[in-house]
Amino acid sequence: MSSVSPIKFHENVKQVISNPIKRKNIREAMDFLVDKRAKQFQDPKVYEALRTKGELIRQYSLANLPRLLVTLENNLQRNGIHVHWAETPEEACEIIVAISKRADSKLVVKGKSMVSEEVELNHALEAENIGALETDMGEYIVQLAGEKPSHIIMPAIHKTKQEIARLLAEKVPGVDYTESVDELIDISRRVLRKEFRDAKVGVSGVNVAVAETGTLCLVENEGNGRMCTTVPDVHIAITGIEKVVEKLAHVPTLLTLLTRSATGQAATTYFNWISGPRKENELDGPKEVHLVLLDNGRTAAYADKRIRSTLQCIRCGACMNHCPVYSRVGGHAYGTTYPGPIGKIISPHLLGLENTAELVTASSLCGACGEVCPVKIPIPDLLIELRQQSQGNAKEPQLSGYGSGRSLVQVLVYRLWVWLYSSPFLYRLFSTLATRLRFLTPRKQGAWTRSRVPLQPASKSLHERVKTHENAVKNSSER
Amino acid sequence: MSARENILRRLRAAQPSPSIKPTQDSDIEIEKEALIAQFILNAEKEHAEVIDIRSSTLEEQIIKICEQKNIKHLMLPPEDFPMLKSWQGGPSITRFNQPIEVLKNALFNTIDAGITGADCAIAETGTLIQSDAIRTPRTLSLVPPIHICVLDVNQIYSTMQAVLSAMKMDSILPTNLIFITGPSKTSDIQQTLAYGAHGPRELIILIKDEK
Repeated sequence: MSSVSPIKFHENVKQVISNPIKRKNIREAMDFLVDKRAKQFQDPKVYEALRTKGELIRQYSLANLPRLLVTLENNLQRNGIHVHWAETPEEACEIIVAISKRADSKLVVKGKSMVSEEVELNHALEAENIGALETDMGEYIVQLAGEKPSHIIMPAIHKTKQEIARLLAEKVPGVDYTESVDELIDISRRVLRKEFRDAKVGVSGVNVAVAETGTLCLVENEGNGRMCTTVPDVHIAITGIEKVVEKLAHVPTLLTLLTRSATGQAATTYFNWISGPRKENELDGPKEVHLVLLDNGRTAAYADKRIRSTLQCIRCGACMNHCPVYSRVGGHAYGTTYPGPIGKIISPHLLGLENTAELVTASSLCGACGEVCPVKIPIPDLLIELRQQSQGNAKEPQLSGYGSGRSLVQVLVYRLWVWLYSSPFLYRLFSTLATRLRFLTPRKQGAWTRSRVPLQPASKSLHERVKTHENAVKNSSER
Repeated sequence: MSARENILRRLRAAQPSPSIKPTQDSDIEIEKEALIAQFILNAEKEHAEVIDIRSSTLEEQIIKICEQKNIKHLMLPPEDFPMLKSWQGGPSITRFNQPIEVLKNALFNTIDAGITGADCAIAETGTLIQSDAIRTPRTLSLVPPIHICVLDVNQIYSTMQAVLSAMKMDSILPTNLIFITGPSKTSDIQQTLAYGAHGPRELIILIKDEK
């Protein structure tokens, strides 16, 4: 597994931006997704109305979250689905490992699930000698390469087809190098098909959970999600506690916002709504269905009213596709499960600010992420709020690692600045000295001069120049 | 005589044609045809092959498709389509009438195509909906490389919301409600679209009129 960590964000970035192939791959993929999405939202009025509805549905769901979770639990149990609650990644993994062991499973087939990445389920299963096989094409490729997904929707966008062709030729027995995408997909299809047929346990994520009906809604294009949830004897779904909505009537709006924002599709190939295990007289489907509800810091985000809106997220990835930082550095640089703008605002409550203080500063606050968010999460405002928290300047600290981004040098520089700039006498003295002694400015100015020319005060201050100008005007009018 | 009189006299003198009052029924008919056309357009956009069989029979079409696609092994749902029997030179026909545990090897290894019905469809997105896991085993529309789906034109609705209200789905849902839009696909390798990722490579929709 890759050893990138959010603490080393700046180092990670340097590695990516010095690799032109990677930069090109990421950029092309982002342009592709941005164009496809734009075609789905051509009428700005319809788009705004849909977003407003999506925002309302998510806010209403969060406002009623404790009640909805209990209703969801009751109705899932009524439908014959087992419900498990996990406060930490470790607890979630223990639950899934225990179910897999009971099913006597040597291999677990996995549909795409970012929450399972978040809890590092594959490690936990492998530690118990249970194989964990990713079956989404992108995830499969990334797993074969021993990497992590670089995008929450398209995990392998950082790779070219030549890289993937070499990877499959090297890792899959009896496969020759081919650059035909159809053949590459066909090779993976053949390998994974056998595993779907024989696996006893399938794991999936959840896109929306419906409380009043006890239903798990999944969205996908490939069919691996349906395979994982239909063919094995046991299906285990895992999701964050925020994914619940009250009514079935809320689902169509969220699904259309999700698919159009994520991949620019009016509908994906499959919507798979699961409301129970195989019933009598049904000839296929899992005999057991489980849902694991994960907290992992979400209740901390929920407790802080200002950060609660991060939980509105439906995981479409549009904010990353439109982010000027993400589209240059890609997902791996962030070193977090969820990269890009949304990653910057949810990682602090998953990992603590002590590990993510650098991430919240990696934004130009251009506002693109907030504009494209299908449920109107005010991402730029939240970034500012989290910067305040990481500097220890917020009013009510909530998150772990509060104030951990505070650096003594920065604090002293700002104090000095405030002191100088709030006294006219000191300001004049400072600007006179700075302009007269400009030749003393150091050539090396830390991070600034690593990729820029050194800063130097001007030879005259603005005040002096204005005065010169005024005198010139006065003289010319007297003449 | 005035121009008015002349025009009306000539019109009245002409041969009369049968006079049938436009009714609401014809409005419904127009709406239905518009929905069908919208469904076909959107399903084809999603790479499904749509064949209108309102003027032929299901048997004829299935024979034709099996020849064209070189289908050797066909699987049917437990009870649906009783008229489909094997024919001279045609594919082997198996019914999905036992639990999947028994049929798994055949389903994954030999079956070329599965035929299923659809409960209804969404015109806006060209989507098929299956809700009855007893009548239509779910893996039949998923595992074989070709999925042939028979849709009644009277079951096409405009949007997903319209389907949910028409099917009166508000408190207890079927075990598994499946929405299918086009064949299985992926763009995970360098954004290049490829069909038949894990599910069917081809989706053929046969449109019939049950009336």
